[in-house]
Amino acid sequence: MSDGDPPLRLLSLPNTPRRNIIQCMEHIDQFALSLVSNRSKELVKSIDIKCHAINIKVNIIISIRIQFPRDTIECSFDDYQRSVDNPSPTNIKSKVSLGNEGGFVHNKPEYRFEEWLNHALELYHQSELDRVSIFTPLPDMKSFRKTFNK
Amino acid sequence: MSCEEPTTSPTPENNITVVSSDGKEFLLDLKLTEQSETLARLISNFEYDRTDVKKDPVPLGNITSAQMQKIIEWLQHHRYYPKWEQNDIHYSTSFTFETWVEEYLNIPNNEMFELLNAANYLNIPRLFSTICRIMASRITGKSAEQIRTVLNIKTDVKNDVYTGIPIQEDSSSSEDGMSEISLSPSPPPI
Repeated sequence: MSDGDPPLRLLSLPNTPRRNIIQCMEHIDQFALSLVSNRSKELVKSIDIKCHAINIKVNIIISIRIQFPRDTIECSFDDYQRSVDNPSPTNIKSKVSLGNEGGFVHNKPEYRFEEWLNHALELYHQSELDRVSIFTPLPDMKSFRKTFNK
Repeated sequence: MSCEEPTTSPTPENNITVVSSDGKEFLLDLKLTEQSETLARLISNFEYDRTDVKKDPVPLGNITSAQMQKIIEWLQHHRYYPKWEQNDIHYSTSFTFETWVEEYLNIPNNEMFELLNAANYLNIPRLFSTICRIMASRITGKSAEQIRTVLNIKTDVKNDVYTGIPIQEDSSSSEDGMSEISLSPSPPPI
C-alpha cells in the first residue's frame, strides 16, 4: 500500500468480510479501531472478543490492564489526579500498549479516566473489574473508588 | 505451498460460460468452479455438470469483467490445491503467503475491496480468507488516528444542543450508496 492509496473502506463492506477482517487483527489494533468512532466501537464490540480480566493498577501512574490469554493491553494515564481542581480531566491522554511493544497515544475529547474504563468494559463485555491493585495511594481515593463502585 | 499441475486439458464438455455484469462471457472449466461454493451450488442445482443439459450462460450480475478476470487467475493458480480448510479464523501470531499470492494481491485498496466483495459473493473461501488477512495487516501497528485516516472515518455524530439534529458525519463519504451484495444470484435460464 502506498501513500496515495485510496481509503480502505472497511465499514462499507458486508458484515461477513468486515467481521472476518477484524477477527484477523491483533488485540491492540482492534482496540485502536474501537476508539475511532461510535460505529467502529460497536463493530468491534459485535465481534464478541473475550478477555480474561480487566484490572486497574495504581502506582506512580494509573493504568487499565486488559488481559487476554496471550497478551495484555495497557492503557496508562499520566494526568489522572495530578490537579487538585480537576482530578479527572476530560480529553485525558492514554498511552495504549501491548506488552512491552510500542503502542500509541490517544485522547478523546469526551473521555475522562472513567469513560476509558467503561469503554474497555463495554468493548469486552465485562460487567465489572476483576481486580484493583494499589501500590501508591492516590491523592483522592474517595473519588477514585467512585469510578468503579457504582 | 505449491502443487504440481497435471498435464490434462479441459474438454469443451467440462466448461460452463459465465457472464459478468458488463456482459462479457467467460469460459470456465468445471474443475475451477469447485473452488467457488456459490458456483458449485448453482451448477449442482441446475445440473450443469450433465452433458445432456443445455448450457446457457450463468449470469453473475454482481461481478464485473475485470473482477472475473482476476478471480479466474486465482482459480487457475489454485486449481490443483487441496480443498481449503479454515483452521483458525482468529488472529494468529504469524502468517505468510507464497510469493505468487503477495504479487497477486499487491493492488490498491479499492481493487482489494472489489475483489473481496467478489470473493464473498462467489464464496471462494481461500481467496476470501487471504484478502481478509491482508486487509487486517494494512492497519497493523497503527494508532487510532492513523486508522481513522486509512479508513477515512470522520468524527462521531454530535447532535446540536438546541435542535438535536446531527451536525457531523460518523462515517466516510465513500461509504455512501454501499449495500450488501445478495448471496443468491438469479438462477440461469435452463
